[in-house]
Amino acid sequence: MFLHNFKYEILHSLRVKDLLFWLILFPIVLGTFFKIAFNDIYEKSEQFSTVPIAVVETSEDKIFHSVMDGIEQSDDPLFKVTYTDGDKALDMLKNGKVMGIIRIDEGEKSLSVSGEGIEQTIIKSFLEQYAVQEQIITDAAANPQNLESVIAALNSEVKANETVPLTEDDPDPYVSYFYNLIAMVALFGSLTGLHIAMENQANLHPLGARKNCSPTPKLVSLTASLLGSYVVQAVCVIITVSYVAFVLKIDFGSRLPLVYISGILGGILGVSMGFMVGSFGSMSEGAKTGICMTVSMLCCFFSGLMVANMKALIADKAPWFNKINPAALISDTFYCLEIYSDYDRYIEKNITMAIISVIFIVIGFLLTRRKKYASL
Amino acid sequence: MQVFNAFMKVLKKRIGAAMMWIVAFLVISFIVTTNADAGAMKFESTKIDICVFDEDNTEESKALTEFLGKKHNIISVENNKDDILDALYYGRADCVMTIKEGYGQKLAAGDTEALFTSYHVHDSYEATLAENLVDEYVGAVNAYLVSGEEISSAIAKADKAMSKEVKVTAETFDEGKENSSANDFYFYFQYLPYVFISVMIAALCPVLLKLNKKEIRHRTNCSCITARSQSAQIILGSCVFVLAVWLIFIIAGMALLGEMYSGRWWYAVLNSFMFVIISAGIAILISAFSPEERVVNVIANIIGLGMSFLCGVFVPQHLLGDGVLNAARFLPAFWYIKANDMMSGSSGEVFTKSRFFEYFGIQALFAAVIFAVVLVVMKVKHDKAD
Repeated sequence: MFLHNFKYEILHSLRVKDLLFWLILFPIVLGTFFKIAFNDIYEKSEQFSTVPIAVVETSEDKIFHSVMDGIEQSDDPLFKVTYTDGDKALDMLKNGKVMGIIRIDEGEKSLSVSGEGIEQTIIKSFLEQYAVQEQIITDAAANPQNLESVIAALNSEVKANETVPLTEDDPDPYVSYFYNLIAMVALFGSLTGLHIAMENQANLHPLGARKNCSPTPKLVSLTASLLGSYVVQAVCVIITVSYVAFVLKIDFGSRLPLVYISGILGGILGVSMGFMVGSFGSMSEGAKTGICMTVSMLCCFFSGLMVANMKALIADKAPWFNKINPAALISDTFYCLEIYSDYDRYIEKNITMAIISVIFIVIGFLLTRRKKYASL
Repeated sequence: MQVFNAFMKVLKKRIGAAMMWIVAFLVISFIVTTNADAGAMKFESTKIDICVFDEDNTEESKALTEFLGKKHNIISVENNKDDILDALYYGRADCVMTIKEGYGQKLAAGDTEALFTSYHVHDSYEATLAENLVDEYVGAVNAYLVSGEEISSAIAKADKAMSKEVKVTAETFDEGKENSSANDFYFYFQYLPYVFISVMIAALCPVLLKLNKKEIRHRTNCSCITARSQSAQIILGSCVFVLAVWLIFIIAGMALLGEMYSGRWWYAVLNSFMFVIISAGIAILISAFSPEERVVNVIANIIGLGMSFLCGVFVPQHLLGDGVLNAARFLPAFWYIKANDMMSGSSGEVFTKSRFFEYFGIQALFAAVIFAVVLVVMKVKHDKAD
C-alpha cells in the first residue's frame, strides 16, 4: 500500500502541471535576470579602476603638476587627469565625466565633488597624502642637513602590509543572490507540502474524505505522500541548481555534488514546512498558501535575497535568527562549501536543517493524527 | 453596481490574506528604511570599518589604533579565521589587520617592512584605502624619524600632519534644494515598487480570479450588464482597494520616519501613486489570463523580484550594466526609480519639476497601455463566452 500511495503521490504532483511549471520557471527566469543584472556589477563596484578627475590651476604649482603626470604615466594609474578651467570642470562633474575637481589656488588645494563615494574618498585621501608630505618637508626644513634623507625616505616605497588571502579564489559577492534564489525555490516546496496536509483532511478536501474512509493507516499514507513530494521537490531543486551552475555558469566551487545534496535537503525542509502549515486549523487553501509564501519570502528577505547585506545585519543584531532561518541555513551551506576547506560548518548547517525538518514533520503528524469526522 | 458589490464581498473574505502580505511588506520596508545608510547621501569622507588585532600592544601600536579610530570606524571581530572570513565576506568589516608583534621596535629602528598582516577576501577600494593609509602613516613616522625626531614625537607629528583635512566642497547643481533631513524617505520609496507589485498580485489577483470564475462570469454575462460596465465596475472596485493599500503605505511611511512629507517628497508620494496604479494594472492583467490561484503567488514573486532587480530597486541603477538599463527602459519601475533617484540626488541627476513630470508621464503611459490591454483581453473573453 505504501508503494501504491507513493506512486500516486508522484503522479498526482506531476499532474499539477501549472504549479510545477511555475516552480521550475521561477528560478530560470529570476536566475537569468540576476545573471543579466549582475554581469557587469562586480567590475563596476568592487574591482579597482582608474578614477577620472579634473584639475583647475588658478595659480601654478609645478611640483603638484609633475606629481600628477607621474601618477598618470604609471602602469596602473590611480587617476586620469583632465586640466581645464573652472566652468568646464563643473560641467564635467555635473555630467559625471569626472568624479572630482582639484582646485589649486595660491598653493592651497581644495576638492569639489558632487556625490559621496569611494572614488571621492580616494581623491581626498590622495590630496591629504600630498599635504602630509608637504608638511613633513616643511617641518624637516628646520634641520636642512637631514632634508635630503627625509625626501629619500618619503620617496621610498613603504610595504608595511602583508596581504593574506583567506580563500583560494576570488569569490564574487553577488553569488549570494543565487544562493538565496535556490533557497527560495527550496522553500517554495512548502506549496507541495501544503497540499499533502490539505488532501489528507476530510473536512478540507474531497480527496481527504476518500483517503479517510480507506483502511490504509494515516501514518503510511502520509509518509508515502511526503516521500513522493520530496522526490518531486528534489527534481525541482536539481533542475534549478543545474541551470544556475551549468547554464548561468555560476561558480559553486569544486564540490558541486554537495551543493545538490544541500539543495535537496533544503527542498525537504520546505516541503515539511508546508506540511506543518497545512496541518494547522481549518483555514482555506488560499490562506495557508499565503502564509507559506509570506513566511518563505520573509525568510529569504532576512537571508539577503533582496538586500545583500541583510544576513550580516541579522548576524550583528540577532545572530540566533540566522541559525534557525531556513533560507539562511540553505544559502549558508553553499557559502560554507565555497569558503571553508573543512566540512565542520557545512555539516552543522545540514544537521540543523534536518532537525528543523523533523520538528516540522512531527508537528504535522501530531496535528493530523486521530482526527475523526462525525459529519462532513 | 452589482459587480462592484460582489467585488467588495469577495474582498472582505480575502482581506485577511491581503493584510498578511501588507504587514509582511511593512516589516520589510521598516527594516530596510531604518537600517539604510542615510549618511551616504551627505558628503563626508567614506568611513570604512576596520578591525585591528594588536599583537604588539605597545605605545606605538596603540597610537596607530587610535589614529585609525579617528579616521575610520574600528569594529571588533573574534580573532579566528572563520569569524574574520564571515565579517569580510558579508561586508561587516572592510579590512581586518593584525599589528604584528615587534611593530614598535621595528618602527623605531626605521624598518618599515612587513609590520602588519591584512586578511582579504576580494579586491576592493575599501581594503586598498586602509592598506594605503597605514603605509602612509608608517612612511610619515619614518620620515620624521629620519629628520631627527624621537619616536614619540615622530608619532605625534605624523598623527598631527595626517589629521589635517582637505577642504571639500559638495557641488549640488540643484537649484532650490531643501536641506531636508528626510533623505530616509528615499529608501522607503525606493522599495515600494517591489512591495506594490507583490501586494497587488498576491492580494488583488485572487479576488479578481474569483469574479472571473467560469460560473460567475457566465452568470454575469447573461445579465443585462455590458462588458464595458462589468470591466469598469471591477476596475472601480480595484481602485478602492488600491487606494486603501496606497494610503496605508503612505501613512506608514510618515509614521515610520516620524515626520511629515515635505518639499520634493510630495513628488515622491505622487510618483508612488502612479506606480501603485501600474501595479494594480499588472495584477488585473494577470488575472485576466485566469491562472490557477495557487500559482498566483509564484507569479507575484517572479514579476516583483524580476522587475525590481532589473530596474534598480534592490541594486542601484548606476551599478547596473548599460545593456540591462537599456532593456529596463521598457519596464515602468525603471522610470519610477529614475525619478526617485533624482529626488534624492543619489544618481547625480539634477531634480527639476519638468524632468520629474517627464518620468511621471512615461509611467502614466505604461499604465494607460496596461489598462488598454486589460480592456481588450476582457472584451475578447466576454465575446468568446457569448
